[in-house]
Amino acid sequence: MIFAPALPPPPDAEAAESYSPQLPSRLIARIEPTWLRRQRYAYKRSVLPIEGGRVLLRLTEPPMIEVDPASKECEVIGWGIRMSRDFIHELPKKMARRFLDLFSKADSSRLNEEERQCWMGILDQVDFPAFCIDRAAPHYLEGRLARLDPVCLVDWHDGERQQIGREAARSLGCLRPGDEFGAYVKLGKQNSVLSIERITLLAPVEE
Amino acid sequence: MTGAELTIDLWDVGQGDCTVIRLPSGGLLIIDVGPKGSPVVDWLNERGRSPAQIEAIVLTHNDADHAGSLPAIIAEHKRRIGAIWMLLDREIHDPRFQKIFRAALEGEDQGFYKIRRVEDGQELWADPSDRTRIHVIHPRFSQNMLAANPNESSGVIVLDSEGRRLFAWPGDLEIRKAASVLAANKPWMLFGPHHGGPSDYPTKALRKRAPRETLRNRMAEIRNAAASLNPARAFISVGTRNKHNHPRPGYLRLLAATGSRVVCSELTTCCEREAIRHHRHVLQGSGLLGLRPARSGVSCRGSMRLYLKDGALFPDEFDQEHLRRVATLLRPQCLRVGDWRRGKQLPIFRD
Repeated sequence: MIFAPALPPPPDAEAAESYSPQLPSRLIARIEPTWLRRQRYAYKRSVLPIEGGRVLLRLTEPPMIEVDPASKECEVIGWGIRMSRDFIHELPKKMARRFLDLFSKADSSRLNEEERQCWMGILDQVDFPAFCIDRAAPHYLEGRLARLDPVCLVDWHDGERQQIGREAARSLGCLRPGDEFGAYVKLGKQNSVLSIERITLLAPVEE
Repeated sequence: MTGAELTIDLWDVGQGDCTVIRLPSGGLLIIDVGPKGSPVVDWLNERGRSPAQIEAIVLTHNDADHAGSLPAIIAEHKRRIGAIWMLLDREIHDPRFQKIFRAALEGEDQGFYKIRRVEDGQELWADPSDRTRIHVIHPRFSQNMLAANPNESSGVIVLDSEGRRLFAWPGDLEIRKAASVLAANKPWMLFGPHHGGPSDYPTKALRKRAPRETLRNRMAEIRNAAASLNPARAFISVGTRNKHNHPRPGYLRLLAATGSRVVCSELTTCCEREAIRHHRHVLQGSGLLGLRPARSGVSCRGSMRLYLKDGALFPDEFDQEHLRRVATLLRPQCLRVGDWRRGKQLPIFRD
């Protein structure tokens, strides 16, 4: 088919409203054209990249988006974001920006009452600990290499013995079991070791 | 809060203790730094734009859950530390002592800061008019020397303002000992002690093997101690999956029964298992206050902030929201006051 079928004329919204004073409310609801109603959608995206993907904002609940057909505007419920639906492709950026904005304000105690409520709602929808772990710098730790093969075991300065994953253990390849070392360690959830860098050898502690 | 003289952040660091006090000068006073991987290290590392002077780091005692992050803080911030206050409660050749404090001792040798002893009578900070002061009231020299274990000689730090004792940090001290140390001037708010499981509170194993009479006497003493302390508020810094069964539900109920408003930093199985299994935080206090969350566990109150103003302490603005959310848990031990049940009107606390 070459030509698209002609679109049916839109219902006369003005006419429907003009009846409202005389008609009962249930009837008005039936007369109101469906295409004028605000519609809700779940935004099915679970990860928003921040800092070029080095830091990720993981959404634990899909945000709801309400679209107003009349004004062609959409609103992310609870996030305080309103934008034209023509720019919906920019939504991940806007959400990441909004999150960073509120995070920075909370960090410097500059949230007003409205923003505080919004921030509380957003924190319920995102994995905030994972976001903070992603952006955290490595911590300086001291330890003793207990074993390198077949699994790498390190006795940390606090007395905990921890098994180090293969990727992170590569950094300790040049050490011998029994060596005391200090290093900057990128820690993940539950203090798991993600990477080890800037290693220095320390004088052994006499036991 | 505008016009606050001090801001006190009680951090959620998992199983461990950490408090950061912001002084009027803009400097920080840190009481315990938390375990290895403590979020306070992340927070300090991110203060790039406005790095604050760390006036003092005070360790109530030398266990890893209170001092485990010390090497990480010293490595990055030794030039900004004024002094480190700690106990000499271990043999100097004890390898555990050496491993945790090697960095601290090296920093002192290099002349970055002084290490001082936590002892009764030491003043950690006072405002110029001397109305508000933070000082040490335990241990005395002999109490430190004669202590059978490190917890027994744990330092007790207090905040006094206009003659009132507002806050006490008894570290891991036994509750009976804490009550006797704090008897003269009782605190408005109590930190712990010992993550909600005071060392003298009978464990399950002890309950099984100890004679009934001994247990009954011990419990009576503990009840008396809690009643004599009678804090209006208590903050329990505890990790969700800690291996020591902290906090003891009985201890939380004991405090709640005296009308004390108890909050825990993290949710534990004594309150609800389902929320822990689904990793459902009650309130993410750390995020709300712009602090960093713990690397493990499920937050109940998370971190909490207090403001000192006109000689009184005021909690942050998320207090009521937390109470509302806690009331939806299955068995919130902190709300077991009288015959309170889920769905009923919230109990009234004396603040």
